[in-house]
Amino acid sequence: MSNLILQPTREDYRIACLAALAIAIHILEAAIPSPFPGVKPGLANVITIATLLTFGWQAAAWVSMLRVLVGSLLIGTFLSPTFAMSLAGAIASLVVLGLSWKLFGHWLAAVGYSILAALSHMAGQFLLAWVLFIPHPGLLKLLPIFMTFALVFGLLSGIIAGAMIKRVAAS
Amino acid sequence: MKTGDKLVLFLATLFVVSLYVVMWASPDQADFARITVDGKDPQLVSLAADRHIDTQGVSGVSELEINHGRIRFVHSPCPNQICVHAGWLQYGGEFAACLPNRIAIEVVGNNTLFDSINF
Repeated sequence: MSNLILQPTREDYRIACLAALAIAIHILEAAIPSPFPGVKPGLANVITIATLLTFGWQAAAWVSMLRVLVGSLLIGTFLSPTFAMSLAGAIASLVVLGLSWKLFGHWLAAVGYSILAALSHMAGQFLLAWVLFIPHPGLLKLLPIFMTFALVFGLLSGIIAGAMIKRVAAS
Repeated sequence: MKTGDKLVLFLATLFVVSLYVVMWASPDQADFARITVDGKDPQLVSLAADRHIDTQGVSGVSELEINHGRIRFVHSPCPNQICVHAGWLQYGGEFAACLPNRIAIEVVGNNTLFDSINF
């Protein structure tokens, strides 16, 4: 029986490093109490956006999915409702990012992609919550509030991601 | 920020504002009433226009009145007049019936009087 040896490439190491950064931010953020359940800044998405703009969509998808998986394993929410929400949000935002990356390419920069990602992240989570957990019309009343938070935090992390890309490119 | 970013920001803000408008629009009064005669083929009537409706029941004609999005029995050929005393029905789920004449009216709408009812 031959031993299977996986030879990690430069890209693998890069994705691992970026994912580790995102996971660290994800866990730090989980420690911050939030006045609204379900609302948090989502600063780990800064890494996703920066990865998208520097290394393309595929790398960003890897980083985002690894962040959701490993982040949940470390916090202890793996396969819990929290994990499902997190995964739904990540998938939704990756789909939207992929489409807009194909359609708009370099017409958009960090802020545009970040806002799109944040809104679709929230929409994906909301859809799952609506379908799976609380199929009540009253839930829809909360949608504008959650979307406002998503817009504000998306804008903020977009600005941070833009500044980060500039610094990294300069160094 | 590129021009595209500003456009995205503008459209996203517009989207969120329109969400508030759509989701938080004041709930309308009940839109329709369901009239059932003898338990068969229920009829939906709009509560938008004020009018009187004569409905042929099992033992005579019941007169219904629609006024400002409400509905009530005005006359009914029954001894107790329970349906008439039920008064105006306005909110979704409100119900009145004339048993001798086999006519039931129910308001159908999102603006219900109760969030939920347990028995």
